[in-house]
Amino acid sequence: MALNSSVMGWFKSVAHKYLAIIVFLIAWQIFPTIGLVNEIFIPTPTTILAEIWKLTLDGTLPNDAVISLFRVGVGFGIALLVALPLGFLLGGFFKSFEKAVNPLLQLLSQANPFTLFPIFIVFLGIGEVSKISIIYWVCQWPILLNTITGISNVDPVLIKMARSSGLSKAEIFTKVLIPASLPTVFTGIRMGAAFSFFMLIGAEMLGSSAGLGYLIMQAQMVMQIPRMWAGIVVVALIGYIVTYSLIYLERRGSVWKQEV
Amino acid sequence: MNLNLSNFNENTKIIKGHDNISEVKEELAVNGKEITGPPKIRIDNVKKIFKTKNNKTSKIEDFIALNDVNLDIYKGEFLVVLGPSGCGKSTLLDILGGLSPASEGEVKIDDNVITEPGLDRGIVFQQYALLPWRNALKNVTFPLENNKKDAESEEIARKYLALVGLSSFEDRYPHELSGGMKQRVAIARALAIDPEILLMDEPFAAVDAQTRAILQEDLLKITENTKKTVIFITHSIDEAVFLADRVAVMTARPGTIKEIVNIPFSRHHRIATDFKNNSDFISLRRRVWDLLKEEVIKSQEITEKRIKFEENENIDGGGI
Repeated sequence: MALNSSVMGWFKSVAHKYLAIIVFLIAWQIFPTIGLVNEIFIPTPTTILAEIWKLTLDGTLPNDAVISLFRVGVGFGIALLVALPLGFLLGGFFKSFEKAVNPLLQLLSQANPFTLFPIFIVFLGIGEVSKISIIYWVCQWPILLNTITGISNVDPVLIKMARSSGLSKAEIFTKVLIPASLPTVFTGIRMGAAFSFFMLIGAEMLGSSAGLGYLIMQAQMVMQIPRMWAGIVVVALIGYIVTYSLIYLERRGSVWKQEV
Repeated sequence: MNLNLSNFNENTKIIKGHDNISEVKEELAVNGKEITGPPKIRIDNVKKIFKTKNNKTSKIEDFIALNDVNLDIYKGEFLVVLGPSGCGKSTLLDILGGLSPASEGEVKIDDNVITEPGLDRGIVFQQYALLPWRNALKNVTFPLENNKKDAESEEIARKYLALVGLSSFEDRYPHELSGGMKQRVAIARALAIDPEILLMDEPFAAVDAQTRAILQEDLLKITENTKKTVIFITHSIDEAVFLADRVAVMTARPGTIKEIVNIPFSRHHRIATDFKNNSDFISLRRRVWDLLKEEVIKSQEITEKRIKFEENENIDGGGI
């Protein structure tokens, strides 16, 4: 009985959490079936799932997904390697220099990356380098700017306390500044990851011969609508998985944070 | 105890030089403090000037926060620095802590001029300054980690957490502790380095009144038991009169020491009897308020020139 009620409780909480999604999927399934929307343009979820299964079996999806993930992984990885240390240095050690360059950084970060992509192609060609570079370019900004903000906004009294405890500058940096700024830094990393997927698909649609963005664009041009939808759903799922993995990591890293 | 209240309206003296040591020794003997040797801390003509930018003229101007501060603090003494807000109390504490240099003059501890922070001084800040990603125990071990092994640090930290009455809370993170508990952790951390001097910057200003009363009593007991020299900054007269062996009243900005008021009761007497409701306490409080009142008014006029105090009598001490 007790087990039964706890199972029921679990079921209820899950149902409550995902109710909107479940209703949405059911409606999506029903509307094309009864002809309320045109099934040719909006296929049912089951049709899309079948298409995904088919494309997985013939190797198209895994192949394109690996290519796309490679581009994102390298671009995002370089952004982490460059923007994190740069942000920590600018925010922690070169405050006045940071103040001087901050307006420029803000300006550059506001430039629409899609308009910049042709420039990247002109300089770097249409191959992998230009795509990885534009992904790096886009996702470095939230990481860099959030890291600078995180470091600059560390409560000065914590630094005072650390100084009065006899810590050196380097120790204050590693034992106070970095952990204190981590929540803000992590928000930047998450935004960077989201941006990297936007830019990936954009770049692959604009100029590419492989990858998930290419798959979607290609399918649309030859009117393989289920195939196009399969690509869209896979991209959405990957984005969802990446975002929630990062949120999970963030929660594990900051158990001390007050639940909001 | 019969206090001499006749010097209420006596012109107050601005402390220009240092105390007459034998006089102070006599005074402190009444408090149950035996003074041996020269002052532990000597604050000598300290002046602090900040460069500030005038918003209207955008010229760099000198902002004199402290001017000619002279003060001697003796070993084992509990000295409270009392002053109106914005008079430079915290600046003075920063200089004592070695966190900010004096523009002129110097502070000596046992004849050594202070130039940087040191483990001979433990500081308790008003905003607790606890690291939110460390639990209570790890916050207390923080200043110990450089010089000691983990196990040893933790043993010391446990000892001091027990001293402030938080033994069963060592695993709690700061956000799981009340304001009073946070400040207890901060006090334990300051004591953990076993400093000779404890510097406290309005430590109880952020906690509620009931908790504050308990913390004050506990602080008196702890400092008495551990024989620390304490410099305690506050703007609360009640707090000053209850805690202090001597109260140094500061003037409005630029801050300087206006007068030092001796509190001629032992700490034991202050805790054991209902001192805060005692007539001695009330007359001392009145005396201190009379010293402080005009400084408070001055500092108000500095920060908010529009307000005019037309009837100074109305702001008399009765209501504090």
